Amino acid sequence: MKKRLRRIAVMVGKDLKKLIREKSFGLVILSQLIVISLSITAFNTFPAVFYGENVPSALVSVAIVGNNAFYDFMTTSLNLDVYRYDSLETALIHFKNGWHNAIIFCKDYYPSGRKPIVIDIYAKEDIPSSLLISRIKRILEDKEKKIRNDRIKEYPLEIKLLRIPDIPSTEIPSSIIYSLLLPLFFLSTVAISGNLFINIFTMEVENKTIDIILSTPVSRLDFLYSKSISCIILIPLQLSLWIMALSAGGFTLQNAPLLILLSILYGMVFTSLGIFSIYIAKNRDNAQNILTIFLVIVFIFLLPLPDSFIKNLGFLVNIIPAYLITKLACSGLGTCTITGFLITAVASILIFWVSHRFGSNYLLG
Amino acid sequence: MKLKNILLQAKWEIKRPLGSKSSVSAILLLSITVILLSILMPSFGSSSSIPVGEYKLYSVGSNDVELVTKLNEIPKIEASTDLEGRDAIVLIRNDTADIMAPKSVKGRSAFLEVAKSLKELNEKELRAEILANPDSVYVLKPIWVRILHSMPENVSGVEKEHIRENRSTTNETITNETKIPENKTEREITEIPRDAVTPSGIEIPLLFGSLVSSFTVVAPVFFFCLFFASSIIREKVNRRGTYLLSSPISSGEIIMGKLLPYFLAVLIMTSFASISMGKFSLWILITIAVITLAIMGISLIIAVLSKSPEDMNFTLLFVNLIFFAYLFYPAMFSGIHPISMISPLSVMEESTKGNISIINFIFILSPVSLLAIVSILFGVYLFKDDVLFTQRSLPSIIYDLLQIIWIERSGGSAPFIAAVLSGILFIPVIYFIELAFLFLLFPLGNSILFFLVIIAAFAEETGKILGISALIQSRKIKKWLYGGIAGASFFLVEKSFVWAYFGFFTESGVLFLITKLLLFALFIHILCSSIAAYGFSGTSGRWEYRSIAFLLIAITIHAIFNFMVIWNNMTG
Repeated sequence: MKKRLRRIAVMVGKDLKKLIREKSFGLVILSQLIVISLSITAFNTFPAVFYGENVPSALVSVAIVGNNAFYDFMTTSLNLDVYRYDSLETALIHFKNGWHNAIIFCKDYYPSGRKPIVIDIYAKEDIPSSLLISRIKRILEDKEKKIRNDRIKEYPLEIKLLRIPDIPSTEIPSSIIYSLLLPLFFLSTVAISGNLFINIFTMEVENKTIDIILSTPVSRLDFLYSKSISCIILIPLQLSLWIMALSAGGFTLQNAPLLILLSILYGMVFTSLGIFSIYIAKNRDNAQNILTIFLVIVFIFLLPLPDSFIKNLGFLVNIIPAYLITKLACSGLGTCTITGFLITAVASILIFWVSHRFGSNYLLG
Repeated sequence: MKLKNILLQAKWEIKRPLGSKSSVSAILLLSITVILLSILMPSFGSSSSIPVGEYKLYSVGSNDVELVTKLNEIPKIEASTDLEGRDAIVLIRNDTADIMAPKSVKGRSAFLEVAKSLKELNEKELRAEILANPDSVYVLKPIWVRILHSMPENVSGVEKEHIRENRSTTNETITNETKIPENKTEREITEIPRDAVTPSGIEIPLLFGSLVSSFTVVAPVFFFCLFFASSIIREKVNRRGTYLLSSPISSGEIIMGKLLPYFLAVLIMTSFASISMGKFSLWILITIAVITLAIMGISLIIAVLSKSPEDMNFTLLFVNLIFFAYLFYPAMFSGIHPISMISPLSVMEESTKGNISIINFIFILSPVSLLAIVSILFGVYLFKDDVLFTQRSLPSIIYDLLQIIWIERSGGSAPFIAAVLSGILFIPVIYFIELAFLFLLFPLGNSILFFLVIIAAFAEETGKILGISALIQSRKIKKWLYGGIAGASFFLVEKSFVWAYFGFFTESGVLFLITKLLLFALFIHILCSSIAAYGFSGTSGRWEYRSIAFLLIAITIHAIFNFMVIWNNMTG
């Protein structure tokens, strides 16, 4: 056993040396770091740019069609240079000619009246108009609250509404980083192991060095194990870099050792998929295509799914990679998460073992 | 270049994968996956959809049992009456909700999510009350909004809406007196327009909506360029390139033949995608064609110079990422900042809306077009036996390239012409690198300027010295002062282009061309290139410690100058 492990270690060492000699591998790590740094920066910067309190006047030109009260309300709240019109027809003609980005129209604006106020907003489908609508939404939400409080005094109702603290407009929840980008980066890093396995295995076949290696006292199974380990061994290093980059950006991840262990387990699954892909396709390019199909299936679960579907999954949700990664990274270790992790571990080891047995018999047989 | 030979090569490029059953099955499976994805996409993107990772992401504690039950119905929240170790705590006292959360990123996020959920619960309460008591609609939901993106075809036909002032409203009611059927919304029981929503229901248009459609047409480009590069490296790895090159067909014909099917496939996919989105236009097709050719040109060079497929894949991944960022980052600010027009995607969007003239369109696309032409020509030149199957150094390849464009001649002018050419040879590549990194200004702001001036100095000094070092190595020039000539020629061509390009978009383009510093800039270019050339003349043009040290000195001086220019501009 000791000799066997030593042989595998020697082969892994040689493969790693080859891989590190490929200076371009550093570019992959650099690419990942660029993506993660930009994502964090964008997350921290964009809300201030796009959802700030003021929309620059130079950016949007707004036409207001309404009575004096409406015009006063809009000019004070929007804090923009607006153009007032008495008729919607004229405003629409000017809007069509491109003079304005939007028209805000209210036929009857009577906050103290007994009728809902209906406001029409004609807007283009461009970024400045989106910024304007986002600003108007906040203004109208505040106004709605004020009018409701005033009207409710004259119309007694038994309704229990909670008083809620104001939500700052320049902040957006970080859930996109934890639930979408983190699993995406995590799985992309891990998926490289499958791609790498196909490359280094087919390289041995194409260069015919596989015959020489197998003629030495190295079993087929050990040969496959060594190739897989070479592909998996770099994942924890890449992931550690990631965790550090995220922490530097204020996104602290919990359970880092378990996350690293999980990356190794998923790496085992992806190299196994590499073996099956080579068996099906027989050559490098087609094997990569087959692996891509496996990847699409895995990555589909990163897309938003209907919440009813997720709910119906019940306990099974704990073994979906995107869920397990996010839970481990930013929640405490609950019973369900630990069980999900253990099931993933057992399944990954089993798939790894079966695929390598299969590969040694049918791929190298 | 014969069309017949190109078509022959293209035909073989298409037939080769079709001969393999596994290739066909892989393509079929991929197609089925893509079709399934497009069918399932609407359900993925529905309003009740969330990423799996967000399911029960936030643990929330509350002292109100009723609220815990309600919060547990929200997919993103896992609520309990236990207040220990929670991402957020909601304490209810006299109808006031106090939300407490740790000062971490996740805590802040949990706070926002809980506040949003409580707001939604209030909305539910309001809705239930209105359904029970329709008269209360004007009290509980006093404002309704309609967002209209399309306007009437004939504006003059619009009813003249005149605004009423000083109208008495005291006794008006809007209630529909008929019996309210079950499951009716508040809009259906009142006279409120059917497409109106309350302010909280306003859906902010997707800020980068146009980018999503651009992504749909651009994404296939990267895939097909990867297939093209794989096809090139395959000839290298299998050494089939030797047989190909010994056949009566030129490298240009081989490359064009290999490029053609993938290029056409991109155009067909782009057409289909843009037709299905109802956005087809010639502008889109031209922009995508230019982008594709530029990426294919870069992929070609990387494939030829890579040692192995892994080497190629890793390098392509990095380069494509930079290209991707260059395309999409500035485009996010389309309509907000004029510099966003450096991205061909912004130009594409604006031209489809008819906001840009043909001349401007061509002009703005010129850097990418130039990159496409130069990289494809360079790639074709590199596709030969001694580059494909030997490990030649980059300077020796560059020297060969210089030999093609520099007519061998004796006499005094020959070294001068060589130095001028080496100064301007890499301008398209240098210029593109600078443009590609300029996108960092958007997310990182002025804080990145320090990094950008170093990148610019590094790209320009390295680009200028590549040709000079090759010429020194081949002993075509001996005097290091020719470095100064390369620097001067680089300065003249580059500044003319920058003046035309940036001055075109924005007044801030003059930042790059401060007249009073122009002569000083010329001096810096000559000085830096001379210093670098001096280093290389001492090592006979080889990249050794001495030459690299002198190059670093040149880069440092150049970077300090760049920094001074920007500092001078910022401080007035």
